[in-house]
Amino acid sequence: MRDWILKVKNLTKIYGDGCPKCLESETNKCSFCKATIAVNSVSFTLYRGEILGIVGESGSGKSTLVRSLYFDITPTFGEVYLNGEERNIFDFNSEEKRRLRNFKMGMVYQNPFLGLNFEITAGGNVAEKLLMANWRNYFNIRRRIKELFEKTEFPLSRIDDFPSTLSGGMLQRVQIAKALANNPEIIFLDEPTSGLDLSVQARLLDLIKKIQHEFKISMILVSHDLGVIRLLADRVLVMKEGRIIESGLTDQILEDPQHPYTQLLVNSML
Amino acid sequence: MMQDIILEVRNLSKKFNLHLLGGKVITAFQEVSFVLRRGEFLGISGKSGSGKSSLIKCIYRTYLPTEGEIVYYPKNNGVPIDLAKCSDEKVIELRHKSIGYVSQFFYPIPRVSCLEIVSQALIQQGADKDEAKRKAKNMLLRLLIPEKLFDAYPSTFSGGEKQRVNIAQALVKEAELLLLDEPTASLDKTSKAIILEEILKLKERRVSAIGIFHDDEDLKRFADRILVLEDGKIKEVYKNDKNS
Amino acid sequence: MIKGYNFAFIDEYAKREIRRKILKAVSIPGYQVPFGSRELPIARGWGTGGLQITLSLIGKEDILKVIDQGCDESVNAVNIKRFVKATTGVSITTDTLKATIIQTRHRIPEEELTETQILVFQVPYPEPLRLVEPQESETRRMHAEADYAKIWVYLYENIVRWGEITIGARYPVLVNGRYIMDPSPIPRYDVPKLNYARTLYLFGAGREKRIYAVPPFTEIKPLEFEDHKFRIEDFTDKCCALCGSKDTFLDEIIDGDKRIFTCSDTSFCKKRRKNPNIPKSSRKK
Repeated sequence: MRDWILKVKNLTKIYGDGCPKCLESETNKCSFCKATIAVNSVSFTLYRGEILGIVGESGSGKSTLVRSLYFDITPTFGEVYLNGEERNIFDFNSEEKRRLRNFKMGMVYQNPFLGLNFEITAGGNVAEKLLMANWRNYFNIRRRIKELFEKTEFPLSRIDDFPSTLSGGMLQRVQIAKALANNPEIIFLDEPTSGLDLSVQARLLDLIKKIQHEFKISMILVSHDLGVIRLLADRVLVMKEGRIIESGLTDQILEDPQHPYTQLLVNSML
Repeated sequence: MMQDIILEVRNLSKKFNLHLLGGKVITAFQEVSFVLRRGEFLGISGKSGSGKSSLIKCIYRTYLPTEGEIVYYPKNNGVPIDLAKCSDEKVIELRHKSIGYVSQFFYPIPRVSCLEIVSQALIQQGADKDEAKRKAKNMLLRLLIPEKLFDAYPSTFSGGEKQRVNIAQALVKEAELLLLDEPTASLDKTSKAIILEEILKLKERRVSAIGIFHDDEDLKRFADRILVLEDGKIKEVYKNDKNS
Repeated sequence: MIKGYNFAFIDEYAKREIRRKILKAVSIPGYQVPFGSRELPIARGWGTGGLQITLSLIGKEDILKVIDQGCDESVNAVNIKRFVKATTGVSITTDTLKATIIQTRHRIPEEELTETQILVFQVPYPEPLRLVEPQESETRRMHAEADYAKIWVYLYENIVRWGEITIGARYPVLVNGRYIMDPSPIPRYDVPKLNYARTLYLFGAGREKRIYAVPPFTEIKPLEFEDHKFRIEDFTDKCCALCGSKDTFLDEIIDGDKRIFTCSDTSFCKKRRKNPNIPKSSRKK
């Protein structure tokens, strides 16, 4: 059986004061202290080489969950273990966290403004990751950037263009190239294709699948679109109001959903 | 001998709880029990709606069984696994390595060529890319998919061609257990014959199979034993006399 | 010496704080130490940082030299010298080798300094990362975590755009393998002089209220790529019109319609005019 690469235990994010009754709340708002429980006691395992889908509607906590794993957001409590690291990664100091972010993880945001620096060129955005990993040879850096852009089907002629001149699909390709730069073990994708034209979305998703097959990277793919999940993910977690309400094989979730909310979601597919 | 049995289904039931229809419960099948031996081909027959597809889908874990056990005995005295309750991870592993499935309706992944679909099945087993491609091409040719279609997308194929790609990805895998849901449905007589030939060849490797055929002739050619379902329950199980 | 003022103008407590900050700076090479920058009869932006360091360290026996862009006679250098002399009575010199404390703006003297001398730099902007990050809280974090990717990206973008790194003065350097430092607006030519030097270098920014230091024999490496190495200014085929030196940093002067080059370090130029073979270093090779 495949090895595990990420183990998440009781990950919780509460915005507001919080109180002992928060976790029992049925919705993501605590009726006692009015805090918002964006992520409520989420536990799951990510296996090496798989794509795990997380599906849910707006406010389900799926983005908060994934951004916590990438250290963008500090969780209220919970433990996350990365295979190969001995402690809960939230106990790491900022330097160790940065090391994980640079070398073991990659992230593709829905909004390219979050994932890219618009003041430097497309190639520069990818170079930043390499420079963080102490690459100090300009020619090698350029070569690696070109290699990554070829893999992500980003036109090499635009390597020195600024992000403000690039289309949505191209920006996502730059993000993917950047995420791949240091050969990470895990890539998080937070709605990577939402808002893009259908044909652009299709090509990007095919690219993600191709890359995953080639590099055997473990991925967590967040989407509100079950179609995207069906295309890419082997297993799915369904989130509602901060909790995982169902999890299973993708085909099982789509053909035999158990939870009422999952049935609603599946029935709402176009 | 324990080794002889590859699958043991005990008291298996599947009920659908349709929350969107106010909690209506639909029973697909109940209290189904049978045993499958290694190298045996079990045919399932019954009227439309009798629960045949649901039964196969439960074994493949596309459906979550409501009650009962599906004990799978891996070869070489491997640890028995209850497919009804084991982890998703385990199911994924088994689907890659040991269990093949031909669905009734083939919804091919869009924008992937049929050659890729078939070779992917082998690569997931750990095969080398070129080797996988070679075997995939071979299998497609044997199932009468011409070379010019190798790079084409199955979503553009005819029903019969789609079905043959579907069968190819299952047969190429060298699985221990094959689950076949109407594999000959959209095919003409010649193709049917070829497909059945290929499937029967697997007996040489002691592959076990469970197959649904609505065509009686195909069923009789395929099965060693036949299980008949009626209204979700087993009506009878009998040995198929191939010579009659 | 003017009466009614403390020796060296600032009070003893101020001197104590500044000396403590200098010690801290020396203990952590390249790290910017905040200090309480005092009021002086010179406006901010005119060398108050360097001046506070000089005033805190100077003693009756010291010999002071002040240069501005290499020149002893510029208005600012002269005013500072007068001010220090008036408040301390110390001797002033233009001879680099005779001075014990040298305060400088934007140049390192040509002659090699020794273990018994201190070079005090006037620094306008102490933060090398300001080029790529406007926020102070963020640059402090970047230094603390040695997260210098942004400035490296800046250098990469330079090469993409111009084929080479185009930073002239204030070329960022890595100090002792840890902190990136702004060596003040000295030309590239002078940057190699910081590396494994025998003398103590102190940097003072009065307006920005920071002190930092490079102790003797510290490794100073300008940021460079393996295949785009750091280069100093190119003076081949040029020499000083006054003394003929081919190995000094030259200023370009437009004289009517003529372009001539003269040594930036005026006192060394004078020495070379008398004896063209004077070496820069007193050490036996």
